[in-house]
This record gives sequence, C-alpha cells and structure tokens, in this order.
Amino acid sequence: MQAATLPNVKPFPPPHDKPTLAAYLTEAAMLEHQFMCQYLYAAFSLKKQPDATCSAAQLEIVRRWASIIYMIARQEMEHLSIANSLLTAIGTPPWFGHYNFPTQSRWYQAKALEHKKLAANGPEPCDFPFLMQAFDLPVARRFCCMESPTLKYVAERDRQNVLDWCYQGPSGCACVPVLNVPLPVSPSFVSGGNLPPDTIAPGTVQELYAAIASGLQYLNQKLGSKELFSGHQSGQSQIPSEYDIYLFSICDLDTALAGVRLITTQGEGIDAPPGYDSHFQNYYDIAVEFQAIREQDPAFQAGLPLPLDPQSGQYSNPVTVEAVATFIEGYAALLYMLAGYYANYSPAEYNRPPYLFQALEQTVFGPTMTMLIRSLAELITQLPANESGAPAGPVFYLAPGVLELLSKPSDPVFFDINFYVASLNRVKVGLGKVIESPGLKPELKPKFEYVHQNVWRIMANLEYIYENGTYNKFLDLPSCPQDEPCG
Amino acid sequence: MTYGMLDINFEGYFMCRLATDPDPTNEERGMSGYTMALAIEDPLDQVIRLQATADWLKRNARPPLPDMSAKVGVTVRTANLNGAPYDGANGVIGANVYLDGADFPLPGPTFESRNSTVGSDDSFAFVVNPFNLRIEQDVTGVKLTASDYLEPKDPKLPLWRIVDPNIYGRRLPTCATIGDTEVTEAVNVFDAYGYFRDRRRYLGKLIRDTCAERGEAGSDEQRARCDAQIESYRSRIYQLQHWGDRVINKIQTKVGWEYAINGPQTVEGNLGGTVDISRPWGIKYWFGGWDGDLLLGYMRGTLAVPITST
Repeated sequence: MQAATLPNVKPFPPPHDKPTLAAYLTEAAMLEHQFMCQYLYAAFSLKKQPDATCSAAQLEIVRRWASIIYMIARQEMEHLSIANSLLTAIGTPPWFGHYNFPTQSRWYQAKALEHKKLAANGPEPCDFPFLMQAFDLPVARRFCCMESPTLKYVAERDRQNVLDWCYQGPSGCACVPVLNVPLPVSPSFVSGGNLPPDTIAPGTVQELYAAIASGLQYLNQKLGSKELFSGHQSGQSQIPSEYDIYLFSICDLDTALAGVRLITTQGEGIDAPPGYDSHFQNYYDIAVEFQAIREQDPAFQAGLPLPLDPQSGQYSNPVTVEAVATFIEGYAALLYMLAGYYANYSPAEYNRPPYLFQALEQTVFGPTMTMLIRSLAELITQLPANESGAPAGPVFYLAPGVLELLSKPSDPVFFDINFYVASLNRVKVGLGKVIESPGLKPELKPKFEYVHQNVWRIMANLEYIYENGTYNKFLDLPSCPQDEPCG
Repeated sequence: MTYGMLDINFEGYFMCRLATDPDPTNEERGMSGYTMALAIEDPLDQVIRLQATADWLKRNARPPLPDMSAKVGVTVRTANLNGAPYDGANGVIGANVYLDGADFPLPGPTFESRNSTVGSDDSFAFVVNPFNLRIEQDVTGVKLTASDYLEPKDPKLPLWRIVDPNIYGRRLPTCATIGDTEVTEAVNVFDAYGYFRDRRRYLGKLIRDTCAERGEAGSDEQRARCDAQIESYRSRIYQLQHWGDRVINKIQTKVGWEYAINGPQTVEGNLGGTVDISRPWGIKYWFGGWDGDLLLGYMRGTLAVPITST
C-alpha cells in the first residue's frame, strides 16, 4: 500500500525496468540484514540470570522480551530470504552483504522519513543510525521507531508515544545515543546505475516495498511473467516452516506480491487487523512495559553492558580477540553458504549427486546459525572486553574481500564444497585456540568445546551430504504401528 | 526348564529440562524456544530423568505437577515369559528404571540431535545418548544393566564424531506419530487443546491467588518471592499462547526406538531362571506424551532377555 504523500515530499517512483527493480530488492535485502544484526546484538545482550539490577521477577519479563526479539530477528531473516528469493526469481544474484556497523542508512535519515509526519508542519523525525547496542529502554524505542509505519497507520492511543520517541523534541532524539563522530552514510543500490542522482530520493522502507510491489505489477504486465520471472526459485521453500517464519516458493507475480505483503505486514503492521503483533507493535509494547518497570525500579537493567558498536581492534583480552576473530570468520562462512545456496540452487540438481544444495541446506540454516553464530555470540558476551572486565560483544564485520566474494555468488568457487569446508575450518581452528587459551575461564571451556564439536560436525556433514545426500531418517520417520489396530 | 524370552515391561513419567529449537541444544535458560527454565528453578540441562529425587522435584516440579496423579518415575510393571505372566520374575516388579551416564559436556543422557546435525529436530530423529539402561529393585536385589554402543568398533567415539548416520541409524527412532492413541491413553489426555486451555486458566488462577498472597506479605522478601512466582506463571502462559500447536501436539506424540543391545549386559538377583548375557537383549521403548510446559513426558518399553526358567 502506498503511503499518503505530503505536499513537500517527492513521490517514490516504482521501478519500470528490471535493473531498477533488482536495485530496489538488493537495497531491501541489505536493510533486512542490517535490521537482523541489530536485533540479534540486542538479544545477545539480554540477561539470563537474576542479579543486583534484575530480580527473578524482572528476569522473567526480560526472557519474554528475548523470545519476541529473537522472533523478530528470525522474521528479518525471513524477509532477507524473501528479498533474495525475489532477486533470484527475476534472474538477479542475491545479496548477503551489508555496509559495516555503525552506519547511517539513507532510508533512516530524518530527511528520508518525512513521509512519517502527520502534517507538513509537524515535528521532524529523528535520524535512526544502525548501531550495535545492548538492549535498554532507548534501544527498544529506537527499534520501535525504525519499524514504525507512517503516523496515520499508528493507533490513535499510541501516537503520542511515537511522536515523543521518534521525533525531535526540545532536547533532540532521546532514543538515539550521542555519537562522537558523524556516521558514514551507507551507499545505496537504489541511487546507483545510470539514474540521475536526484531521480530517486529515499523514502521509508514501507514505501520501498510499495514501490517494489508496483514495479512487479508494472513489469509483469509490460514484459510478461516469463520474462520478468526468468530466474529460479531459491529453494527456501524446501525448509520446514515453523518457528514464526513462513517461507514459500516465489516464481510469479502472485507469489512475489505475497512475499512483499508478508514483509510489510510483519514489519510495520500494514493492513493487519487490530491486535496484530507486528514488529512495530511488539517493540512498542516492550518499550511501554520497560518504561513502567524503570519508573518503579530506576536501577533495573535488562541487558549486559555490551560495548556500543564494537570493533574487533578494540578488545585487548587475548581470549576475546581470538573468539571475536573466529566469530567474524564464522559470520563470513555463514554468508558464503547462504549466497551459494540462493544464487545457484537448482531443483534439478537438488536430488542429483553431488548433493551440493542438500549439503548447504542441511548445514547452513539451523546448525550454522544456531549452533555456531548464536552460540558463539552469546559466549563472547561472557568474555571480558578488556582489563576492566566489562563484557565484550560480537562483531558483525564483513571485510572488503568477503563483500567482494559475496557480490559474485555465481563464481565457480561457490560450487566448490571445499570452499565452504575451508571457511568453516578457519572457525574450527580459531575455536581450538580459544579452548587452549590459558586465560579462558574454566566454566566457559565446556561451552566453547560444545561449539567446537558442532563446527567439526557441520564441516563433516557438508562433505558427507555432498557425497551421499541427506540421510533418510533425517527427512521423515514412518508412523508408529498401533499395538492393536482396529479393523 | 523352559527356554524363552522374558519381557520386562516398564513405564512411567519422566522429566527432561530440555532446550527447544530455535535455542541452541545446550541452552540453559531457554530464550527463544518453547521450553524454559524459570528464574526460580535449576537451569535447563537436557538430561532425561527417569527418576527424580524429592529435593530435585521441589525445585523443578511446577504446579500443578505436585498435585497431579502423575508421579515421576519409570518402573517395571509386569514380567512375562513367552508372552504369559511369570511369577518367577516377580522380583523385578516395581524396580526403578534408570538411564545412566552422560553425554559430555551435558551432565546426563539426552535426546541428541544437536540442532539437526547428528539427528533431525524436524523428523524427531533423536538418539538417546548414551544408552546405559539400569533396572534395579532395591528390596529384592534384582538388578539388570545393559549398555549399547553407537559404534561397537570404537565404543568411546562420541556421537558427534560418527559422521556416517548409517553406523548409528539403528539407534535413531523407528517411528513417530502425532495423535497416537496409546499415548493418549497413557497420559489420559484426549482433548489436547482443552488440556492446555485448562492449564492457562489454572495459571491465571495462580496469578490471582499469588497476587492476593502478595497483598498480605509481611516482608520485601516475601513480596519478591510472590513477584517471581507471578511472573513465572505469566511466562508459562506466554509460551503456551505464543507457540500454540507446537506445544499442544506433543502431548499426543509418540516416538519409538527398537534395537538389539550390542554392549555389556549384567544381571543380579532372582529372575526365576538363568538369564543369557551372551546374546543381545532386545529393547523397545517409546517416549511421548510430552508436556512442554511441565517438561514432563511418558515412557513405555520392554526389555527382552533370553532366559532358561527354573
């Protein structure tokens, strides 16, 4: 749905050719990825034990928030998957890269959020930088603002809070931390190519998706379905959908529009019935609950004090340095696997040896995300950043070489199983060094060993499934016979 | 003297403080799955507990479990020789059934899948690991033990190091059914939706009762305890509401295993004959009836031992 436009705002144009549509989708994929990283970092920071600033009762509330924030992060992964499935469906490479944190997305600059104003003379929106920030009340509000639809879609009873949190007040924008230096503005795919620089102005992400939907409809009519959807299904629909995510094949206009609609409904709650738990509404409710607790207990802290926007070079503890370097390797390995899977998936090749796509599918989604990335990230929050003993945080850093590789996922290297195995082997070696480090706390050693074991197994599974396919009992089990069947 | 097969039949409720996907499989608090350790309980440890001490239950049995007829403990109920009741083996009746050992670095036997790396969460393909069965009757002195190896050629090899699932495929389940009648009868839950609807209503009542108790509390410590209880009930309601069918359908789900035990077997006490420990004993069992709110489930099985009766 196209948001109502204000007189002083240039309408956001829908793409009228495939390269522009691809640019929009690539932009969308990057934004979803950047959302996901921020939400994950916040979730990793949440406390798992009661302490002096979080009672047992408060910890229960924090855990419920964790459940919701992890759900939203999974749904951002789903959105990333849909954006990339749309890209592969129209015959364009997927995009699993992003500009490094911290950064200022053009889409979340105040001037780009004009459409979220209720009136032309209303308060100015805030800049919403993309930051790695431990969870706290201002962070809940920033996330709420980032997911907010235009004000006309915000329920009347919630508007004042949204105005207070997301728009500039007398003392600025309270939900955004004071940053010492201005952030670099993320390059945009949308303004690239041959388009004159002022042809397209960033609008809200809600509008980006509205433009994508319009462009899909226009190009489907102009080019025909066969030419528009000249690519391939990504294979995401092979993955069992549970856990609050909904994946389906994207191969034509109907399925493409369904993907766009799912994203905007889950995110901003566009067209959703009252009471729908959109990301916006979830963060809104968390922020309101957080504020109520803080008013009763000003000392309450939901998250560990992880550093703001950590960079790998800022840690001095040797164990942490090694663990974070290993995390960065693991994150790159994960993205290589996703890029290779989405870019090159072929239903015909899926069931033919060598089983590259089965190998990637069976290892990247659950195991690598859950047993490596999340597990290692949460362990890093248990490590000291430096001599002060303050906790460290994971670093979602993509080196230039990694970004370069991710930008060409049809390169022959992405068809080579040894490329993925070698990527994971660097993680295994790094974890081995962490485990052997004399500075590692004894209570953390078994937990690092568990991750190390799992990475060993993920590597072995990659090679085994590549050669043999997926073991049949891992796909399905027969029903149990009844002891005394009737009839 | 009769040579035949003595079927030792056992069943009962077990507990497992199990992390569930999408939490990592060694998650101790439960942040994103449908199971969780409440702040006032022990951490999740993934251990399959066929028996539980009163002290452990005091910390981890959530209401209404302490008031339910379901009592935690898998025990031997009957013993049949060649399919008929056999009084000679009465010494094993009432024996406790245990799973011993540990699945390092976890502190006991687990349903091992490691997020679909050594098994599959999606198809219920879990390995009960390790499998060190002990059946022990404290009064009569009857005791049987039997251990199964995942890889008989290298019994110490951990599951995660056995790359080819064909090697341990015999230890994976043989079947899985959602909506199983035998399970329904065993746990006496015929209306799965109603069962959890009642639970949510019950938890709502506990919240109201505890709020009333809090109003009369005489100290900050008492109030804090009430607050923690109230929020723990809210967390449970949240999980039931959020995950819905994913929790509900497990209460009538059965997952079955069956294999010939390939490791050492021992027997002590009077079983009414001479048990042959040189031949593999057969084991068949199922886990099911999983109540993901109480972290409680049901197990039923049979250990088949060759015996020459006296």
